[in-house]
Amino acid sequence: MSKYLRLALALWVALFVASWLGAARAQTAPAAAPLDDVLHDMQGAPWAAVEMTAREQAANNGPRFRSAPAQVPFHKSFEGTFTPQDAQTRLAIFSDDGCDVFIDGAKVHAQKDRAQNMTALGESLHKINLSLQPGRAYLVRIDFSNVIYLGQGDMDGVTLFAYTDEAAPNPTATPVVTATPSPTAIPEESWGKLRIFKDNNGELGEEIGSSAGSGAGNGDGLQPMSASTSVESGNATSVGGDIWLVFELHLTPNEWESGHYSARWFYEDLSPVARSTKKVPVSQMLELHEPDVSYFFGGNWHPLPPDNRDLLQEVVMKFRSLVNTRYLLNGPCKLSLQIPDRDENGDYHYENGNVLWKPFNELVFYAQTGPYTSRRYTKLLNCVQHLSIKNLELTSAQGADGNQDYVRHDPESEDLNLVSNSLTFSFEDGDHRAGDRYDWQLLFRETSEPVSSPPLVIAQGTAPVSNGRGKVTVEMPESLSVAFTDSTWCSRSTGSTQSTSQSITLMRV
Amino acid sequence: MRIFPLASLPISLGLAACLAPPLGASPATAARATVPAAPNAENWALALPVPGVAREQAFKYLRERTGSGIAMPQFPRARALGWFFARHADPPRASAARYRLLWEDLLAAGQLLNDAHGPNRRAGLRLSLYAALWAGQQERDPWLRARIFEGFLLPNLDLCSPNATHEMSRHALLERAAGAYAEAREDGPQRVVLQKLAEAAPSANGRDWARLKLAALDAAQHHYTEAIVWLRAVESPEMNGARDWIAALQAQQAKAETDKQPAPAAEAPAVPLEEEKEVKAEEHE
Repeated sequence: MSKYLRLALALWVALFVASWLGAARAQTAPAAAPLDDVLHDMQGAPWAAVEMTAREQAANNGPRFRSAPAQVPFHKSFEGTFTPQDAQTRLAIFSDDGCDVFIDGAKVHAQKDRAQNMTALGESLHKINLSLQPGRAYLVRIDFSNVIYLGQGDMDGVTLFAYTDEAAPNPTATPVVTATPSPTAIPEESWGKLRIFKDNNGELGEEIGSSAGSGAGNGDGLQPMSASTSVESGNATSVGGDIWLVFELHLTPNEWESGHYSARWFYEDLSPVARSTKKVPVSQMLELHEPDVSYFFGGNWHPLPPDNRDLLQEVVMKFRSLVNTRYLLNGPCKLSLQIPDRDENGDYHYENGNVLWKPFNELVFYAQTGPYTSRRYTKLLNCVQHLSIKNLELTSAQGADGNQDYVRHDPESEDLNLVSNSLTFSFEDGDHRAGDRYDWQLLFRETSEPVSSPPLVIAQGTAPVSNGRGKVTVEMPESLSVAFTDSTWCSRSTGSTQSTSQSITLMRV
Repeated sequence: MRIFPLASLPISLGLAACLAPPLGASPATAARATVPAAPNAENWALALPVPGVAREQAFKYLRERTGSGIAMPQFPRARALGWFFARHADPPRASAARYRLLWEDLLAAGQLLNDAHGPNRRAGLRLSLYAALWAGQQERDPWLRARIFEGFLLPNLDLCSPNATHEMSRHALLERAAGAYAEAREDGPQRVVLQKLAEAAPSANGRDWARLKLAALDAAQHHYTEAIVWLRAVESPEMNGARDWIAALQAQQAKAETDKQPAPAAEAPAVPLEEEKEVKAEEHE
């Protein structure tokens, strides 16, 4: 062979390898489209509404993302974060011809390339049975494929529905206002004397977070912010729908004027992604209460004013209002307090027969429907001594020759004191046609009474199998957030089964 | 039975007018004086002259279907959607009774939409949407579905969610309105809504969907040139099959033009013209 021929051959091979490598790189890192392209947010609407919408999409409008008319096969991925509003939020996937869904890296739905028909909802519409923690941002990825196109009139594409499962427990719907001021907070000196207190079953309760800041009544309103739960006994589905906000207005005796006090609040969403640019008058959704006025003198609080005002050290007015939590969104918010506009003589100003209001103070805070004040967390943590691990579920997604029914799991310990962060279990596949690798998932399911939640994927991986046998050691997560009802822990301490709902974070002890 | 067969004509005209920014106060605006106007410059729906007509048509139609009057239903304002689905979970068998349910839904929706409280108005909008879907899917009454969109949903687009992924976002409702008009075979208003979507839908996928629908409308009326223009504007890679459709339409267009042209033999005059006669006579001479 001449050297020119050999040179040409080497060049051809080099070019081939380079092009193959380039193609492989392009294949391994496909650009994902934003999740918003497929998300159809129906939170607040029940499953029946999802079915109606899916039926409408199959008949008229197509799914949220359409891939027809298409040259098949067509593949596309979507990725982005989804933040559920409350614990009843669920996801469902609707597609023609099928897709895989990953949540925080765990595959929760595997129907890609199944060529399912959209008009048959039994094939195309699937619930994703995962309980989601409200306020937490989940990374959702959808790998969609369109493998069949039947010509004009054929609808292809995918929709990710977010809806509300009203039958699901809603233990974490109560937003907790944390003491994280927004970066765009107003200057500290203008914060004034507005404070928020916890309300406990209709009575003024403890102030959460007060230990983090300075003492009460010093006019610094940055630290004591909280909202408390409401109790609607006997109706478990509405628990957590409303909260009580309690505001304390601290005045010096000189600032205080006897007589009727009233106030109203405005709620404003300060999120950079404007969800609502309108200023919502909270007073319209509040059940306004007359302020309870108390007086501090002689080292104690008194409900009635003393005859001599000079004895007063501080006047505190407590305003309590019922707030529907649906209006408190995740993110930076502002509550503005307004009081009636009065002149020097104490007379109200009117316009068109209505009392004029003037802004008195405002509070910028960060509201979230997620975890929880350190005090409540500590209190509940003491109740959790060990975690009982049962019902390990092992699925055989790879090496699918083996039937899942043939796989037996054998956890070395079923009731673990959480002293080690690993869990070991072995398994054996009785199917002679078993593959050499198994995908496994560790699902966590809360099974306490009265209801059990859908399983939560807490770990997953691939295990090698030799002669049908394998062994897996799972590194347990350092912490595991899971929603529990009160009865879970109260039954250990008091035996009562309150309808109030709480959430806790389980940790190894 | 459709009792308003010509309803779509004034509706399409009114819809076309309303899709432009409002020029001034209209009787419809004056009638809604109790409802605070949204500070939205794009609130073109308030100038819509049709919604009152469409509502009246819908209520008159329901009165005839049920054969009786009806009282304003008592419903929980905070949970209007739950009230809707609870009542429709097990619908009665008699058609008149089911239409009575829809009538109650629309009365409740109208009351909520006239509320001064924003969340209540939004609840009314959502209730209207599911009433429209119910009319289309369960009662198989696309005409009523289109009237509900026209009388309850399209005039209140200012209540839509600013979140583009929400089911009550503006473009999502417009897409569903287009679907309702398509089902009712009301091409005029369907075209108006689709043109709005083709211009202003937030995603390329949504704009292209509207273009494909417009192309299908034009192709059905043998307006191949216009249909091809819509298809050439398709920009989404996932709809790359539109190119094949263009080729098919071009073939149909060529065939139609060929069919239009008369055969040359048929065009030749049977009787020679006078000039030709003269020429032939000269040749003989």
